[in-house]
Amino acid sequence: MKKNALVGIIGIVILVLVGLVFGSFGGNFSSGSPPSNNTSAAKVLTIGTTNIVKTDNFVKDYYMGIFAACFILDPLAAVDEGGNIVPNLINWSTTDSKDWTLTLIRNATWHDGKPVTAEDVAFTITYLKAKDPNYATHFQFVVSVQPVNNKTVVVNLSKEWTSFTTGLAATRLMPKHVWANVTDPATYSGNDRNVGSGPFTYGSFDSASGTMTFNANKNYWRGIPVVDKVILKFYTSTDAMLMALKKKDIAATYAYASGIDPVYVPPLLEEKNVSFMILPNFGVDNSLWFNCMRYPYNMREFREALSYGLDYNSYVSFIAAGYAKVPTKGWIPDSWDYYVQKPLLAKNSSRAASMLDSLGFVDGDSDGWRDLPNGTALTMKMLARSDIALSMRLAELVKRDLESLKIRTQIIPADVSTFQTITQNTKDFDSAISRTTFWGMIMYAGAGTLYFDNRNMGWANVNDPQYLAVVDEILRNANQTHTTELYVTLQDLYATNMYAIPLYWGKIIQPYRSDMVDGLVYNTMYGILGKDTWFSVVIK
Amino acid sequence: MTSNLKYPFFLIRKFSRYLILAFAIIAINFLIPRLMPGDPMLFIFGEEVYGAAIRNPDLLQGLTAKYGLDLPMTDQFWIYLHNFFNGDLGYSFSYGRPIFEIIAERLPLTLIMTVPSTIFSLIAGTALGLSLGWESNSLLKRVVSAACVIIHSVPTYWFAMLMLLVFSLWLGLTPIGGAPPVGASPATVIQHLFLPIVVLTLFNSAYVAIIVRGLTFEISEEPFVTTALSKGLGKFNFSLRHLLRPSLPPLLSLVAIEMGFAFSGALLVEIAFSWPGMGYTMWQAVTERDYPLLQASFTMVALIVVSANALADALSYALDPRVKP
Repeated sequence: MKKNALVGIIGIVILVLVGLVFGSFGGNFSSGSPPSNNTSAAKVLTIGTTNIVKTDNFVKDYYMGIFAACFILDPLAAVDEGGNIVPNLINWSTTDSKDWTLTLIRNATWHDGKPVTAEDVAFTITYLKAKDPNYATHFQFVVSVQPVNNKTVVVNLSKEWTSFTTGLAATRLMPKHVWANVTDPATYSGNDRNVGSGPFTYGSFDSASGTMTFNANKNYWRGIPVVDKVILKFYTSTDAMLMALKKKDIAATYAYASGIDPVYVPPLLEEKNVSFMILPNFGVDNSLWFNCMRYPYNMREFREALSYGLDYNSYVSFIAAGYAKVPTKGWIPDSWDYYVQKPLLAKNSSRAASMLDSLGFVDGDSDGWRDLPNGTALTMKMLARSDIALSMRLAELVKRDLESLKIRTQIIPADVSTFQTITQNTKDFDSAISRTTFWGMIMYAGAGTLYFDNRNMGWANVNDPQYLAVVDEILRNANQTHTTELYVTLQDLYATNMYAIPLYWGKIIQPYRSDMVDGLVYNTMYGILGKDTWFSVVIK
Repeated sequence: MTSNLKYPFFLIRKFSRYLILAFAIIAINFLIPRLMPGDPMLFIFGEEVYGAAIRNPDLLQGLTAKYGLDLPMTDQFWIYLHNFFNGDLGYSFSYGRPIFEIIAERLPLTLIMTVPSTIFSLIAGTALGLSLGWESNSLLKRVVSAACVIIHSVPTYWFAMLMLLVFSLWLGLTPIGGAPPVGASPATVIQHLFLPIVVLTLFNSAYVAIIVRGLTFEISEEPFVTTALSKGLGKFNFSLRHLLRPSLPPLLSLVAIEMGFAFSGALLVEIAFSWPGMGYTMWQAVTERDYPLLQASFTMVALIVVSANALADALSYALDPRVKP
């Protein structure tokens, strides 16, 4: 009985294991045809990235949306080197920021040969507002969208909203003839799902090997891209990606809205053919954000006192490896056209201590830590992104500095989901460390207002009436000169109130192999994958 | 009870316990993702739009309804159970695809890496453990024992990176990352698989060897061992014929646990080798609070561990007379 049972069980186990192994091969390696390696005559550019695409549907997948905008689709508006939104497929005009006229200015065609028309523009805005949660906020005030002829569309908003142009820069034109009958774009898997009007046609996506390919569009309105094919290679770790760069598997690395962590630079400097593009960062590379609606962080003087306790030079040296500068009290960095110079931030421990003393934050119980003025213990809880090593390292340095002021500090590690839910939704936090992106800087009323205003994302949870009034004025105002004046006012408010303390203004560090590629152009929004690269790149 | 009925009753008793355990796991796997801080809506809207979107009740209500997150937890739980027992694993928030499809795509990538490494490590680890278990002052044995402890203690990711550095970057023998492309030749498949399997096999072998060495050492002091050896039986033959058998129950339990790892993948190894298997998929699902994908993946892995344990129990009974029904 026992022997029979044993033989039977062993037999079943062997069968299951053999089945699993062969099933694995059958499922992945015996179907389909191998990708063509016949690229000897073609100019092929291979880029490595840690921005991993999960599914090649640009409506559903965040990074597919980014790559689609770089290769296969054309945004309605673009961003210039100064961070300004400029015409791309369309130009626009408005007199009151409420009624907008959009005009197609390019002779563009879809990849399937059909012409791009005003119908497509009107359809894209209407369709995305209805079907894509992202655009439901970009176009929240859109009341009607009507094509008036083959080139012109009129859009009516329910209120004045200058941020409408930000929505245009985020909008990738979609072909009406493909999507009109698709009820749920996030799940659409038709073969025409990646038909666009961009400089490349969609090639292939192999999630197992982590590769995505794009082929040059010979009918692109701006001309034929100088590179025939682009291969994106996905890596789940930066270490592996940089090894691939050293090995010449890839010609450059890519990370949306950022370069590489500065700690990776020193070992790459030893590589003879690895070069760097060092570029201004339009985002703020890490700030200390205060919850301005929670005591005592709602006290301007308290925030200012803490700003004197921080050692900005150490952040520049140890966190940014020198690829950064000490910021000013004005939070908006000097990469922006409307930047206004404010006093440099500098450590002044004695001033910080005397300000805290005068505010009543003293060590009443002689336990070595400052208490609240009413005598209760003070512990500043500081959220930091546990999924970003740099953020945790920086949090440790900030903790060190605050504790030297006798402010007891506790780092609360939080992954991206926890961090954003707390800072944007529950607001149950004292302070937080995080960076901002270029895109975040221009969204909403621009100048980083997205991150401050508690009616929006509002990490700083600012409800200061003066600040909110300026934001509302920017959103209403259609005059660019006046908008710039209002940005100057915002910079004054940032410097005076210190809702957030910029810790350092970093640079974007973009590595590439100079023996494999040259002529990469850095776009403020899409980095080296911006459209200009496709007309200047040189494959070696 | 007649002896003929003992074994079936033993199995029924054991399996009914495992059945209760399986149900408990299914229920707990529903709760765990929902008890985590964070909001799945964050990744549906995107980080920069989330703040505005959650302040727009119409928009928020529409989407939470679409994903069934507006229902009371009890209703969500019954729907989950109903769908689960009807073979419907649900729809992934983050992939926008049926979960069955995602698992069918990712699981083979994991199994092709973990099944061979589990088999190799069991064979190699057992052989090594049996050899090391006999008391001896041999320097080689001490060095190998220490090496096993060191290998098992080294961070997996670091070790994987070291292997990549040597075999991929310096020697150029293997690719730096990624599973083999669709339709790859057997040679390419082996090239891609070589390093991940070597890393996993080394780690698991070291672990198995440490366990088996301890078991062997313990048993080697039993009187029957002295008797058998005094009759002139060689240590190797003795180990295979007499020592391995009493060591099998704890070994089988170990294998049962290893099966769970085989299916859930080895997260850090998958990240190091850019290998999009189940471990990496589950990690992404945790990051993005993709409740349906998390539930399905955790449940699948847990049920496999439970099944493997049940199988190990059955085998232990069949192999070891000391196991009483």
